[in-house]
Amino acid sequence: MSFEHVFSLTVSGVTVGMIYALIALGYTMVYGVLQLINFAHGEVFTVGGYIAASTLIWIGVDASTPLWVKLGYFALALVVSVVVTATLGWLIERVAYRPLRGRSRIIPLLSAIGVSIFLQNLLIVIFGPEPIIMPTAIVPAGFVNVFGARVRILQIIVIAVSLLLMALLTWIVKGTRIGKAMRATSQDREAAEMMGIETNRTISFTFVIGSALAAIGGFIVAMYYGSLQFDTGFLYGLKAFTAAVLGGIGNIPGAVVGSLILGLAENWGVGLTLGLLAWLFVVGLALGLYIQMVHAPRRRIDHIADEFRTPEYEGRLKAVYRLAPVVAVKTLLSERTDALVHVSARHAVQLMAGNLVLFAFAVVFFMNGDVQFSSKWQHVISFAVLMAILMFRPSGILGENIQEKV
Amino acid sequence: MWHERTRKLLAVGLALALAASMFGLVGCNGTEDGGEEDGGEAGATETIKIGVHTSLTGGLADYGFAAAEALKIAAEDFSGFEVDGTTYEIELVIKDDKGEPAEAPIVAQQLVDEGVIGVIGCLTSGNTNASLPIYQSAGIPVISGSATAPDLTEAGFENFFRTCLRDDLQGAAIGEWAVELGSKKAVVMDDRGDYAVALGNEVQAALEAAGVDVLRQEGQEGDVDFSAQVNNIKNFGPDAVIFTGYHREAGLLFKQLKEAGVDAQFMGGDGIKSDEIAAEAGGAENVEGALCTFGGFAQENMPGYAEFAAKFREATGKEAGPYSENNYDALGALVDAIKIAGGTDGAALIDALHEVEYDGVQGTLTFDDKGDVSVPGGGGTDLIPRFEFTEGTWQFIG
Repeated sequence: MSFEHVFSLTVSGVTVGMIYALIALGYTMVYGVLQLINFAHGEVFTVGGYIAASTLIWIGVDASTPLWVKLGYFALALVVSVVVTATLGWLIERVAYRPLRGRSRIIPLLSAIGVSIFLQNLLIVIFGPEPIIMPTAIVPAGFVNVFGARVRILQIIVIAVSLLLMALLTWIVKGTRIGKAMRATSQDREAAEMMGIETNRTISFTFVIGSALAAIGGFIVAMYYGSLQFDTGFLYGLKAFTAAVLGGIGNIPGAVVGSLILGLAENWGVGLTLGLLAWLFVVGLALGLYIQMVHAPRRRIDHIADEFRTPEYEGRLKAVYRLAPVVAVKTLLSERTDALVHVSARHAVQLMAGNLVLFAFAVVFFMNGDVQFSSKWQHVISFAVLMAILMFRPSGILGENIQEKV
Repeated sequence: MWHERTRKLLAVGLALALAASMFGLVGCNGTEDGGEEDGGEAGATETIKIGVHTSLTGGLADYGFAAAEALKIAAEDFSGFEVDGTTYEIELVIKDDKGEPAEAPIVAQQLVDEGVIGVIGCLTSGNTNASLPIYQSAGIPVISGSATAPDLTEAGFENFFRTCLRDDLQGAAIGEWAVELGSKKAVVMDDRGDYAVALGNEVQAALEAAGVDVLRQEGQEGDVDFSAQVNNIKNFGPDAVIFTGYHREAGLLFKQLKEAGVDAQFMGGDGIKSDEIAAEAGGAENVEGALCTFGGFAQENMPGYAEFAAKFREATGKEAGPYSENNYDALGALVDAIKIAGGTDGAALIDALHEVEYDGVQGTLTFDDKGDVSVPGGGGTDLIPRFEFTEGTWQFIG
């Protein structure tokens, strides 16, 4: 297991993760403002890729086209794709979701699934069932050697563009008027309306931004893999949605973090030997121990009401966490006298169980250090990682309902 | 409150009415078919429905197109044959299962409900596997021109026949070929589907028997990103990479391997023998020099191929695609069986298929007890034709 192998797995994982993130952002923003899971988003992404690819096919790029003309065509395809797809996103909201606003949540969800099926079939009708092929001449084919591993120029571009777009999005959400309106709408739509914010326009804007990002994602996927099929967006949509939930749905940085974890899990899970994967458990264990020994007791002590705050009481709470197996279990078994201590004891036992599991995994993995998971398990492993994380943090890694929610 | 309840009642009522009307329609179909069959007296003309269970959309749409077009030609050629004074006209009922094993049983049920007397299909082994129980309980014969997984004829479905060769033969042939090329370290990768796993296992067994160091990898059909596998393959440093799945994933895999700088001989089975692989791999240069085998006979060993290929070109404007001749022969064999059985009863047809000796595009075909096509002179790996991808197409090389 050479370093360059680990490095190239990491680069692939980050690239894939960034692509997931471009789609996941659309899911998370829409969820933020509407509490709606926009299942048609995966198809919006496919449409973006199709429009970009068919624009380039229509122009007819080939290897002899000079570089600056290619760049011009590239920009044109990007603009056409973003404009068409953003319009589509706006239209979907206007036609399929707005009339259902205020109904129970399941109804717009069904409408979203309907739109998704409709768009897939529309793609078949217009472009046929066979994959659409990206003209290769437009795709940068070069690569550079980093630490002995081969990194494609395109991978670097994908990562850079994604980071740029995410920075742009953060600026829009945090630094502009419309971003402020988005945040207000997501916190409380009625209150925002009363403050004179046009929530319908804000929601439309959210769809437009999300769809534009998806279009760029579709364009990137078409370039990166060379082709797109009418149902490509389904799997990507599913994975991006998972990533959004993993990071905390409705939370913009969360979508990016979740996507990166998913991309890396897919690559590391079946690419690394157990001996290397075990280090991830070691890191997890260190984090878990920090939470159990330092972070959690501190948070609990902050909860003590002032009139009860005594050094003995603080000491008792700390003991529950730090001597978890003995004190916590004893507390749980004894008669229930103090709610805070009791809740803390339960929390401490949970944390300890988690840490024990991490420890056990680390030991087992170290003991079988040379073994590697069969790539058959790729999707199983990534979803096992997600389930494990969500078990301990049901609201996602960065949480669901914090102020940064859109 | 009242409003809500009336609306619900209305909705339930409408749904029931809709369901009733659909069942009613199915019922009507059934009786109509029965009527037609009863009308088949001596001297009369009878139209028989033959199901075509294939995949016209999805990743294998080109294989499905080839099969459907070949069958249309066959239906035209064979229509109007006479048995015991009755003239039979063939009507094809073509259904698409989108290449998904989950859709296949639904399509199978639809064909059974349509009252077909026999089915040509399915396109892939996985879909065949999923549909056979339904066809078996309906008691109608199924002949596939392209389902090559060995299991299918080993599972005891007495109604299943095929006009293509089995993957155990093909797998051994791929392994043999790689060894001939001097492979010492080889990667065998499948897509976790029935066909690819079975073929992959055969290839792996053949390679390991010859002392080749094998790394087994798995992708997932429908995935576009194989970066984890590519990195593993690169780390292993093989001299041959054999992908036993279908061309779409193969194209993507070969492209990503080339881009990662893996310098190995790319090989595959009949699933990658489509010229679309060039486009799917992002350009012919990424597939140039790749090798594949096929689950049928070599074109030059098939007596009727030139004539058939010309017909196909005339009818569709395209070259005869993979397994088109096998599908043509499947219908031919079924027609032969109707002649032997003297009717279209399912059980009689199944019995008759074992007696068929049909002169088709591929040569004289008979089926053995399991339903596999029998090969004159026994079946060795030298029967399996080899192809190399050069100048944008698969060229026959021996």
